[in-house]
Amino acid sequence: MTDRLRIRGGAVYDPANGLDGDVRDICIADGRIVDALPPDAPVLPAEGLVVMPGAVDIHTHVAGTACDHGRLLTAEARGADPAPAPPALRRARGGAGRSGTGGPVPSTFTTGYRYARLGYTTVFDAAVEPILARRAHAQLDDTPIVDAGMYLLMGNDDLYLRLLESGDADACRDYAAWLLHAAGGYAIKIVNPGGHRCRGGLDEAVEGFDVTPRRILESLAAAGNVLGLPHPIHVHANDLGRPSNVDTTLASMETVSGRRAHFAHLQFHAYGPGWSSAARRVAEYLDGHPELSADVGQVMFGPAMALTADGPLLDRLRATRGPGLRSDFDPGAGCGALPIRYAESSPVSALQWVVGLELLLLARDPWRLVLSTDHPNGGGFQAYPDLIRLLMDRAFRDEMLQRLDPDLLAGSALADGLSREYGLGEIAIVTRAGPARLLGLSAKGHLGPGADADVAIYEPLADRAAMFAAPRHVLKAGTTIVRDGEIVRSASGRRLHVRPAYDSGVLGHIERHFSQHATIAFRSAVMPPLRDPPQEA
Amino acid sequence: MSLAALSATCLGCGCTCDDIRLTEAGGRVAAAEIDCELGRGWFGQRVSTAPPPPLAGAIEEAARLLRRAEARPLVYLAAGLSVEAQRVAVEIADRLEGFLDSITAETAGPLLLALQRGGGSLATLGTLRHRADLVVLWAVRPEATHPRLFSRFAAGRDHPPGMIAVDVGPERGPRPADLCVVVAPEEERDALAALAALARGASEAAAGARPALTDLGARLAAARHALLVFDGETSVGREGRAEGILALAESLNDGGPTRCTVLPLRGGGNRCGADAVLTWQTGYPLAVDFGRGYPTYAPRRRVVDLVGHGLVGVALVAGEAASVPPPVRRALESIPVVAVGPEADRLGAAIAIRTGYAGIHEGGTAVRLDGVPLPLASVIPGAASAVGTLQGIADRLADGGETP
Repeated sequence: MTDRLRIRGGAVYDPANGLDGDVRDICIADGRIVDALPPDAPVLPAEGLVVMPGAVDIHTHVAGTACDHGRLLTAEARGADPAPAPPALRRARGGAGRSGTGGPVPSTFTTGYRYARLGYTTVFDAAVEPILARRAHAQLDDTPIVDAGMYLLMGNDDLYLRLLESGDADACRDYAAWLLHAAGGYAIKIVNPGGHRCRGGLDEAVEGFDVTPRRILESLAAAGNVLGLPHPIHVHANDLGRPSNVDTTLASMETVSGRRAHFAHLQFHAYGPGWSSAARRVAEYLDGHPELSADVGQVMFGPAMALTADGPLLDRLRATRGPGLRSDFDPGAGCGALPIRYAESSPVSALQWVVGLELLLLARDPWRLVLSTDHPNGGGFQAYPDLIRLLMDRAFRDEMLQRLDPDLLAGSALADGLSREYGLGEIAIVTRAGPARLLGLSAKGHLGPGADADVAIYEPLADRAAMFAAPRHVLKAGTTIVRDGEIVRSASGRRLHVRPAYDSGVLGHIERHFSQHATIAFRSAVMPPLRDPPQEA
Repeated sequence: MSLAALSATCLGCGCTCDDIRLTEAGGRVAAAEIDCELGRGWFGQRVSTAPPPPLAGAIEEAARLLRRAEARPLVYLAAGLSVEAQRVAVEIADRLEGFLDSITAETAGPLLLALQRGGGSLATLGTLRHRADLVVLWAVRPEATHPRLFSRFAAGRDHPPGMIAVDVGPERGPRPADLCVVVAPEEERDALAALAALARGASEAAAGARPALTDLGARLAAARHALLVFDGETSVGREGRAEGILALAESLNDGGPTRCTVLPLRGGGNRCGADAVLTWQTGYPLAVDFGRGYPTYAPRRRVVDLVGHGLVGVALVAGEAASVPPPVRRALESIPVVAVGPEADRLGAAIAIRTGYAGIHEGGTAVRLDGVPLPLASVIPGAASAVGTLQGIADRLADGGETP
């Protein structure tokens, strides 16, 4: 670890601390940002460069069984995208640094290196089945540099539904807390409340239980908030990717409103009747509810991979795109991967591309609608620089728009001439300060004293895609990882997780459930303690 | 010895049962309390005295041999390694820019290739426990190879699933069964194709199905969740079976209300862990070549051919020597071998570093046949570990002690 370093004279974009291109020195000691350093401290000259906190991906898929399914299905794509070990790490055969392959779902080491080379230093896997958490943790152990955590799938399993049906809200909450402990998770994730047992809308009881999807959502949102989790609940709402799903989306938001809740990949949930854009309605609702937040789930044209625990979605996709590779994990929704492609010539793809941009350009508070491609579902994380350019450069965006069939754009706010262009300060919000705040990570996403010294330093190129694709330098916990665009060091990232307090009275329910219904022993469900200390609740 | 330390996970077959209690007598682990002869045997053969830690010089020498070979190195993953040890073994292959393979290639390679080519709907043991109402055992008798598949994972169901046995020549399904269907080996592909055609709605005549197959087809179509069980470990030489069963499942999923998943039975020793680790670290489940400085995939290239053609100059074999398939073992006799694992000295290796057994002497993680990760216990601590030995070799690979 570099003990001390002064990043001198850069234009600092640190929105959490009110800096919008102000020329400042950023001082680092022992892996953290400090107020000041003595004059003899080592210097990294940054005059003329842009300095930002390391970026934070609030919603990605980099660990877990579905990722491996995605990897298996893309042998050809990865053959075309080899990833040798960073040359500075492996100077000779036998040396350190790890190789891998890319494609829509890169191998683990390559994932870590490629995120770091974009200036991303923190990532969250958005959907891990608790029963599979050990495997996901092992994969994150093999994903270098980035600090990482995982959201755990909850709310659709038999035990949760039974506790909810019995009206025991405390037990529901304690069970959720126990899962976070046992599996080393960071947040509660609900995918498609009701899951494969859904029979209709939010208010129709799920099959086999006197419980509605709305109640599942409500109860988990309450649990996450009462437990004081830093990121109370991460919601993948019902009806993803279906025409007219805006009604379900707004009803889901209404269900949890008044409590903090985050809605994932909002673009996939913002369609009106007959494949039309409902971005305006969704953006307005979000603007009016400061307790709610979302990431966009932007679609980028090109190859992608549907990788999800949303069983009904996989069922719908199979009609046109084949079965993909799927595993029938409990509670029956399972997880799966299915190669897809967003083509400019496809009306639905074009609409999805438009809706994502509309949301980003219409929503007024960048702190609460942050960047994601739902990697690899809407496109790879490596497309972030292109997405940033679409937001910052209207001429480029309009050029892209003109390539789309104008009939597809009828009624879209984008075609009506949305002129907004993001500035660097807003980009720093939607890629860093915003996600860090939504995640309750007080030491991430900013460069104030006490923050983790995760820093990305860019050349201020006019081509914003080129600028954000290749930061000049990246520091992680004070260590220079990328120097002059090249990875020069690797390191293990920290594991981000929480251990909220709970009443151990719930353990009786859980152990009984394991002995009667589960296919693993209770002791197997409890991870050994993680190396890193938990985040404060 | 604490009681907690006497809970163990069995690597005797792919079921990876994690509910095993070991009994103690005279300060030693004496027996496994388990209603499974295969499992009792697995523990019984392995709870012997653990080998002491290896001499530091052996690890040094192993690294030197692997690094200095004239032709390229091969890292070969046998059974009986934890996920943690498998991860380090792949690291060694990557850093040496060598070949990398596992015993999966010799047994389940065609199954994995079929899944890569066409996808598929994989069952889990939860499917058997909770969802399947019809189980078809296609030329497989789990009572012999996976003895607790039903007694543990389908126990206590209010409505036990229907059972159909399919015999393919001498490969018989179990008895008793609700229906037995006999298929001649040379007709197996046609039978699977006919069942798939029936599932897609073809008439009996159009599908070319015999009455017994028509009956099976009708039961599949009437099922809510049909589970197709077959042997995933003998797919070499039976390439059509895995492909045909995967296709039948998808025909049912496409054709009607039946949901259908497949459960290829996999062997023990955490071989599914090797598939998973190779996949997440390299992108490929087997037959990896790091020769260009990054992983490339040659799934039809066999280890015996690599060695036979003189492309491999030295091999690191990690895991249980006894699990190395005989053709591979014979091929490796012609080159220097570094063996790391229990009974490593039985491979005739140039350097043999004995370790304890994963799940008995060495803890970590194993992957069940359906992808579920489970903890391995170290019930007899103090033995040399495979993960520690492999890490020692990895740490010594770089000339001049280069650090990461």
